[in-house]
Amino acid sequence: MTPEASADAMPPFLRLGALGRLRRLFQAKRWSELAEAMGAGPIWAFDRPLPPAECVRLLAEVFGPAEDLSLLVTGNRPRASGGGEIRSTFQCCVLWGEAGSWEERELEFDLHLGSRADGAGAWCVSYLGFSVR
Amino acid sequence: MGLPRLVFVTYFRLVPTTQIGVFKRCMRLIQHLVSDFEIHLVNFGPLPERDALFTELRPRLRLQELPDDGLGNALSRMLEEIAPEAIVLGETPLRGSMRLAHRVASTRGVWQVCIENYYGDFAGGFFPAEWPRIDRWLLLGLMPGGQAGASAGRVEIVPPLVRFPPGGAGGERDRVTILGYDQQTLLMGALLLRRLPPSQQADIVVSPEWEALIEKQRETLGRPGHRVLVLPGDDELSRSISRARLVLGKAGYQQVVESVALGAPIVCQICGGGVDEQLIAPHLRPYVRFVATEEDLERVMFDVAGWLLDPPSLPWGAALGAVVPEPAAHAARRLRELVAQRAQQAPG
Repeated sequence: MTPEASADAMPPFLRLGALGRLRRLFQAKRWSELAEAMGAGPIWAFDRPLPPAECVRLLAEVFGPAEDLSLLVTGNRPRASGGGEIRSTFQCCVLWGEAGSWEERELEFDLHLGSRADGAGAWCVSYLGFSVR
Repeated sequence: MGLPRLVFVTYFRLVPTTQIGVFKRCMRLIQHLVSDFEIHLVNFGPLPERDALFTELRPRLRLQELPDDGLGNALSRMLEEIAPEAIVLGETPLRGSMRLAHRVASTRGVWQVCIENYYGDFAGGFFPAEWPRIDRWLLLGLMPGGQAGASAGRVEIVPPLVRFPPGGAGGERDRVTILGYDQQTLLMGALLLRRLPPSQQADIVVSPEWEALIEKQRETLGRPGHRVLVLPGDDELSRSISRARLVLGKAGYQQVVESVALGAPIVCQICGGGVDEQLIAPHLRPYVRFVATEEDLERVMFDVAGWLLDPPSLPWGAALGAVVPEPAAHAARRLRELVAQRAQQAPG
């Protein structure tokens, strides 16, 4: 995803709340902005609560050297929403290439996201979790 | 001097359901390019030996058989040796071997053209933004209001690669066409026909392996007025759809837009690897219904009855055929232009 891609240029299932921005920042490896976009936390990463900064430090460590980093959203399941919050579970796959070889890696997981309108036309994260599919 | 070279990259899968659409659309384009280019074909998965058009074209193609082990190196060597004008990706390189082919081509600086579905307004901005190293996009689909196509920036939109029957459909719209290439869709077709009057005419399109199944379903799939078409060619298939008041097919994007392009609404069997309902553009939704189960079929029968009793007039069909009588030849011309744009952008 390049910066010029606007939210309107996304397929409908990617426009659900804050996912589009998280995805764009992750793929571009803009780690500090990603930490900010993840909200106040904690982030439930595979049953472990993590502060956003720690979560992003781990992501940067694993995916920093990756080539062609891509977060693919293969589906979504809306969850009970209310009070201005929308919740969804996204089936995701991270794909990346290893530097210096043609090896390709994939990691599938579920991303659970609660988003809230920030009043200025954007969405911010109210809950974020990852689990094994 | 030899012909300029193109490398087409495509795939054919049999599980979870047969996925031949990407391969087919490449063949439909190649038939109009093979006299002007030396065509190299990289196909991931088995070759669809029974595909009539492929069989016809095969002697004129250079098939590149690459090993699974060390595929990246093999692709890189192949591109170095062939030095093509462009690599044509049959579909967006989301993952797997298609993604690797895109990565290798990008590293080698090969001009890349990608064929994809035109899912609606967002597609023209979305694909170039998501895959910035793909140089040009050829999007296949139906635009609102029956418009034949559009061109903007790196994107060219053209109609689906159907074949409008020469001289018209050859009769009134009087039948239901079941595209039962896979068992699940064929059985859903049987459930549909069971709900229709016994006199309803139907064309049942199947792969040879399902002929025995049709024998067993004689009560619903072998009534008088039913024709069984085993792997028909493009001409026969388009004639059938052009005479259909309704198509029942797999939820593959090409089956959807090709039916609608030929003027017939479609009921789609949801399937693995198929298109998501959310990706059907708003202007197509009035003519598309999705079903996964018999209960779903029951829910769409009201619409089915409406389509059969009072067929809607779709803004494509014969009107589109009058503007673009041969969509595959038209798309091949556009593809040729997209490939030629490389020369305009080459340094110096």
